[in-house]
Amino acid sequence: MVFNILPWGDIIEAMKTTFFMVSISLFIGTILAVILAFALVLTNDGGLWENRYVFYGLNSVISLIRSLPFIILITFIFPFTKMIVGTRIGATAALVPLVCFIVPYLARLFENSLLGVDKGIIRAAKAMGANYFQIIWYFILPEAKSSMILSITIGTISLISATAQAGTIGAGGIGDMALTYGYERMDVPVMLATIVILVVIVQSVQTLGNYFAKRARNH
Amino acid sequence: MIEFQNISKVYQGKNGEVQALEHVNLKIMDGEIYGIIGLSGAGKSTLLSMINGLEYPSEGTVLVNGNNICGMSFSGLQKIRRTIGMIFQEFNLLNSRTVRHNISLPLIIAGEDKAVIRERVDKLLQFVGLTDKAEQFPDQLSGGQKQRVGIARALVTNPSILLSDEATSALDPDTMESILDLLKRINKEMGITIVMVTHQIRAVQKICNKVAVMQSGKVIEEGEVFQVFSNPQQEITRDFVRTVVPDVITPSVCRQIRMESKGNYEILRLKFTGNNALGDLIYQINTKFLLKTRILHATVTELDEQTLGILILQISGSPEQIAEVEEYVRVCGVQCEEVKCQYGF
Repeated sequence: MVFNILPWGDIIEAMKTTFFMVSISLFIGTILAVILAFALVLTNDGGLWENRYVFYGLNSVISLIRSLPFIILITFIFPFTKMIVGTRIGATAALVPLVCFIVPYLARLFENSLLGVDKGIIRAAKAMGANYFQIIWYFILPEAKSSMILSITIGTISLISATAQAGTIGAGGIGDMALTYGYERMDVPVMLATIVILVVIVQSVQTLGNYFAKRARNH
Repeated sequence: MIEFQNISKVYQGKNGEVQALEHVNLKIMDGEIYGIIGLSGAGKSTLLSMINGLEYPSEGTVLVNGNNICGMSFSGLQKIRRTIGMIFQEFNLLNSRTVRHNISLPLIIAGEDKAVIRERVDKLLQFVGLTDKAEQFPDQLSGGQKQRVGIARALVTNPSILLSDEATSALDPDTMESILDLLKRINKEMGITIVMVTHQIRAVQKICNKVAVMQSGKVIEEGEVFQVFSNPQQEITRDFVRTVVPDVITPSVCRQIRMESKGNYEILRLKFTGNNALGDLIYQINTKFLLKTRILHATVTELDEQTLGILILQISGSPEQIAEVEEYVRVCGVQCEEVKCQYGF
């Protein structure tokens, strides 16, 4: 009965949009963040390519973007967004600020995961005659993988909540639906339905993340 | 052969320069088990890490089989590193990978064939006695088993040198003994030179042929284990050696001697080495000089397959008689020195 009064078509559409925004920005964001995190760790004091200037440069840029609330970041980078995707509104336009938001965020989390790898393992790798690429690929990544998967899980959940704010530039999505239906139209059942959907999605993401992290740690 | 020529190392610390090593000269011959012992901060690990180029000296040269480690290109250094295995106190295994994968790693990064790797790893698993643990993960193993995995990993490339950086320091005494036995076997059966950094004199006593004692970045004593142990020159060496080869009287014995002994007596420490270690000196003293002797302390230790006996005797008699005994002991080729009761009032 309650089911019939819900605009299912709109909800499905919103879920698709959310999925589109989260998955694309997560995919691009993860790749960039991994590169950035390695750049941070490798150029930091005691890293394999210690370089003070690169480290402090990257470090300040990341901190700068991290200090902007997402809603401000969206408007702040309007010109950049327009330059890249040719428009400032819609789901595709939202990808640009979403990526800008998630890259420094994930980079910080990954940096932590990488720093968590025992220095002794790197010493052992060097002693075996591993080159820099091999040290990263065969030693650091396998050891950091589990923790990095948990970081991606946290990042995904943050992205889902960020997409709701992307509604302000007409991006749509499930969070935006909760705002327009629930807040602007006072449509309580739709709002409740979106909340349930969001809770289910976030819980599933977390459970999946935990499962894969455990698998990466052992077996 | 490994040669350290006039090695110095200076670190840039927070409070100015720190001299980690100072003019170290050492030669390690092929086939030796060479122990480098010292307290923490003595610079021994730094010295060890220079053999495979994990650390560089600020001054001086490190030669490994004639190759100058410091003047090497990165690819040259990589090749050398594959002929030098290394084991660590904290094992440094990948916890996310199986025992088999951990042991395979040096061959994987050397681009070795899969079939070759499998065969070689199986052989080493058998050698270290972990065949049944191949598919397990390091955190499912005990400390001793982890170190065996570390050893197998270090040997998988068929190295000619094995570096051991405090490899037995995190193990309980029984496990330490078994790992030391394994190292000795590696040296004997495979002819691998072992350079061992440790603060455990027991490890040196058990398997080393030669030893260098380090203190504040300097080698203060060096030589054959038997020589150094039977006749330590430096205070710190004496302290180290004393813990495994006791050569002092216990406080309670001291107290008793002071209470009981009247008349003139002398306490002598006799050191028997080599052939005379199991002689009948006491019998000779007793029958020849007709003096009262009392054994206060006795130990027999095996060092590098030689025997060292230490005997502390109390001899009662006139100073002249005792001097004669001392003379006789020396003639018999036994090291002899007078000791005083150092404790007890």
